[in-house]
Amino acid sequence: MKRFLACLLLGLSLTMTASAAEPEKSVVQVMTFSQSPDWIAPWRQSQVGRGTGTGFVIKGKKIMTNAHVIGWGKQILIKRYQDPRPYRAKVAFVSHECDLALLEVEDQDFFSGMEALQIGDLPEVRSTVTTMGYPAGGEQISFTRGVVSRIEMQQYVHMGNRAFLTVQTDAAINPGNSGGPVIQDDKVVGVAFQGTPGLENTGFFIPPPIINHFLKDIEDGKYDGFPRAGISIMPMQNPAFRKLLGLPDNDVGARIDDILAIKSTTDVLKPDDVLLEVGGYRVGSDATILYKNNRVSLSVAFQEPQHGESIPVKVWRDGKEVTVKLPLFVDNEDLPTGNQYDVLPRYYVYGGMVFTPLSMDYLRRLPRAGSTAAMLYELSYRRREKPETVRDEPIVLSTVMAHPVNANMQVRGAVLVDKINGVKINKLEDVIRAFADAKTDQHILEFLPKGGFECIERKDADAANAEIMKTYNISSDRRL
Amino acid sequence: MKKLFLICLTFLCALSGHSQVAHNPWEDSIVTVEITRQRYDLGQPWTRQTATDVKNAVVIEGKEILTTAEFFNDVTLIRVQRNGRGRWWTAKLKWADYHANVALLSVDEAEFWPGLKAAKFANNLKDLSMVQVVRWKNGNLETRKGEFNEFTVREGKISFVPSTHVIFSSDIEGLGWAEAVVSDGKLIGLTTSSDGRKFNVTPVQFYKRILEAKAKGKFTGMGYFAFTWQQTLNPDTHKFLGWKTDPKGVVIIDIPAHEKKPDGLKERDLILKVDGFDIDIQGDYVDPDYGHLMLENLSSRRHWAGDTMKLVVWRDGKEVTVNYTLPKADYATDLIPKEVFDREPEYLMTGGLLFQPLDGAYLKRWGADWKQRAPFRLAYYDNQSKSEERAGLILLTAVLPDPVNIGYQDYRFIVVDKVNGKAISNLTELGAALEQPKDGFHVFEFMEGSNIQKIVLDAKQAQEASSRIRSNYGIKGDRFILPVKTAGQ
Repeated sequence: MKRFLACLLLGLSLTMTASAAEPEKSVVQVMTFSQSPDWIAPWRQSQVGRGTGTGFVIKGKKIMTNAHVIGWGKQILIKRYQDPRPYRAKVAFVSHECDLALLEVEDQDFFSGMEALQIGDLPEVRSTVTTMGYPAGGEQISFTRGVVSRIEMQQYVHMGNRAFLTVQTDAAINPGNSGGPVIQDDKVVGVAFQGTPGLENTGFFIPPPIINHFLKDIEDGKYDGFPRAGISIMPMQNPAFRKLLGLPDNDVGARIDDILAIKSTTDVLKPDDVLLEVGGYRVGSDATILYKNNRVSLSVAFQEPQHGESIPVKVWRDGKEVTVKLPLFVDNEDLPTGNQYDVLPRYYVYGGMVFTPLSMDYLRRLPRAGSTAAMLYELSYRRREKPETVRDEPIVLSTVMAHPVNANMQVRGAVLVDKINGVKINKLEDVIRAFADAKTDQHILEFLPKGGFECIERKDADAANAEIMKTYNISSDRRL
Repeated sequence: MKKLFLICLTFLCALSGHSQVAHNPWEDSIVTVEITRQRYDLGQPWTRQTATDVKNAVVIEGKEILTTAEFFNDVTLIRVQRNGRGRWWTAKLKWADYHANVALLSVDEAEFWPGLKAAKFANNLKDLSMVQVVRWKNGNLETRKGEFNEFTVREGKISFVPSTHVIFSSDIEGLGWAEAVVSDGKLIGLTTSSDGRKFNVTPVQFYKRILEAKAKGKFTGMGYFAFTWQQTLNPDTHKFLGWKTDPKGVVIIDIPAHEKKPDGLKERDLILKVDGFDIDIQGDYVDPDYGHLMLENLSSRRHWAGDTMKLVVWRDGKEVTVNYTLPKADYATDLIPKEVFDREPEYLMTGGLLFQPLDGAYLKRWGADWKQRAPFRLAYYDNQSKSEERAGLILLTAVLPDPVNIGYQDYRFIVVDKVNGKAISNLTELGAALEQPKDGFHVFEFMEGSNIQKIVLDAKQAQEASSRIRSNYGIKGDRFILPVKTAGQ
């Protein structure tokens, strides 16, 4: 899936009216100048890049856009409709998981004459919508019209490991449209955000339930995120399986196949519980619910509550119905398996050896080879298969910056660290402590998965640090 | 009459002219081999297809034909052709060893042999300046110069056992099918593979030793070193190990659990000598015939599986001599056997659920680069070892849609953990577990982390559906299960 960048501009009127007669005037162009980190050499950043997208004014003097429009931004400029002046903006709130951001403009004159757009309801399938934005191919605002093709869960590619409710339309959504409003009856019924290469006439927008969840989340001044139950749910359509669990032979119920080690969930739900109702939605035997006349994944029901809220769940357990309250919390344990933003990668440099946490961002920048298979397993599979052996933060020796003190080392990076000086490495701080607490003449580094090791003289490494930092122009030996 | 005489004279002159073309002695020693074999469709393991391939071979003493073992698995018909044209003669596979990549053929019909001459083996490979590659192509003996590159040690094309290879380059294409490599009228070796202009040759000395051992009944299979070592190019490693004199040796970093013995090698042993040869910090020894070679070659240089050799290691501040017995190379040693030769594909189908062993043959359905293309979790099992609980893996490979398995149609490529509470390592165990349904149900549990953990079938309905599913999908039988093959069998 390819991400789209877009932008648009407009402005007049400060009044927060119910709807905007000319919504395009509340649509702005967003220009972001960004630098992303070098995940192999984490003290470095990329050259400054420039991207454009679209945003629109909502109540509270905020501009809504996509998170991917402003990701890793160093400076954000906003242009209003037919106004030559760029305005500086900053990020007030961002949700990378649902690809939404709210921007604030320092110059309060910016909003003069601009009208806030109101968030509408989830549009009906086959109804007509209009997109507004500044897509590639021209300088002025662009309008496209289409119908709502379907509504279902889709992966949000900005992080890459999250799926939410999504609306598909045949209205043209092109690079530059990202963050732009999708309008119906003068209200925002979506935020354009991604497309699918190879498919014609398919664009996707983020619908009001997701937008409103984000806006409600930040009412307390901070963003928490979407809660996750951590359960794997399977359809319950096989008559034999239904019979084994004593379930009536109908179209209701989906089975909990697996549960992650999330205590708030394991305290309440068990494998083989059959979900009959979640949050008041009746669960179909294909693990879907009927949501505003759309049959969508049951996961939608678990995403409705805010972090810390509970949801009523009716389950079939041991041959009878049981109703429980399931508390739901944000679970960010899998952040390293997706695209990460905002926080520059942690690292520690010692003796020219660069240590950094294992992440998909790091792994994606390595050539695929046998050594990366072990890293991919560590990152994406161990938690589900052997949770008792999971490390808090698997660490890789990312690269080794050549210096006489390490020149004879055969391992030159791209390898998982198991132990240093006999200390098992669970997180980056363990690396620092293992080197600092060493008592022997040599540091011994052990690697996964085959038990290879390297040795380096402790005094020589200590003495070489300053020279290595100077030679390779590294301002700090660590970012923690 | 006069006219007839002139015509005959012209003909004789023509014959005379033809006879002046130099006879290449290799025409009498090189033959073409056509192999027809079973080629199984593991997507439908009950079906059969055949494949025919052509390669080269060399006549040797004793009216035998020497070639490489590749393609002789699951063979149904072998034919040979002399002179690169004309009649094909039925041949028999007398013997083959896949890990050695050697095969011997014979032809019963006496008429095949007159005029054929056994190739002479080169005594050594000291002069490789005039090497040629020879093969039959379109009825002509094609001869091209080969340029020597290096001696090296690498894994075989169809085996994980390393042995000596000679690398040549040439402008001839498509080598690697047992073409003869010759010099000064003698056989230097047979090609085993190629990569662009470069091609690998197994030296004739390897064939000579293995044939002699076989003739004496002393060939016990290819042995290998089961441990993993790393070089000691970093002098700090020697200091760590307490070795204070001239840097030498390589250090053992991993020994498979089944190879660990109380009086055997240990991890962090510094290997100083193997079979009398000093080991340098790169892991090489100096071979009397080929110069610097990787120590792995010593497992087959003058030993076979089961032989014991002496390894001198540095351990805990002193030299220790360890008697190391070479394990026999066997695909069945691994959790995921890399190759499955001469065994019809096994399967078990119940209620439309199709189960097959997860092995190298199945993974190759994703192509030669299956490690990149196959589902990651399946391919990653290749990095894992057998355990006492799990000697092999059984995979749910497909669901043949039927009313009995509604809801399961899209499940595939999931590794089985237990069936009816019994841990499953092979299809025999699966078959036995299906004899004991739980309260009338078959409960299939899959490995932790799989996309689906459990499915259930009604045991009676699954059995009743069997004939319907077989008929619907053209399946001969519910199962084909061979006796369990363990390493060494």
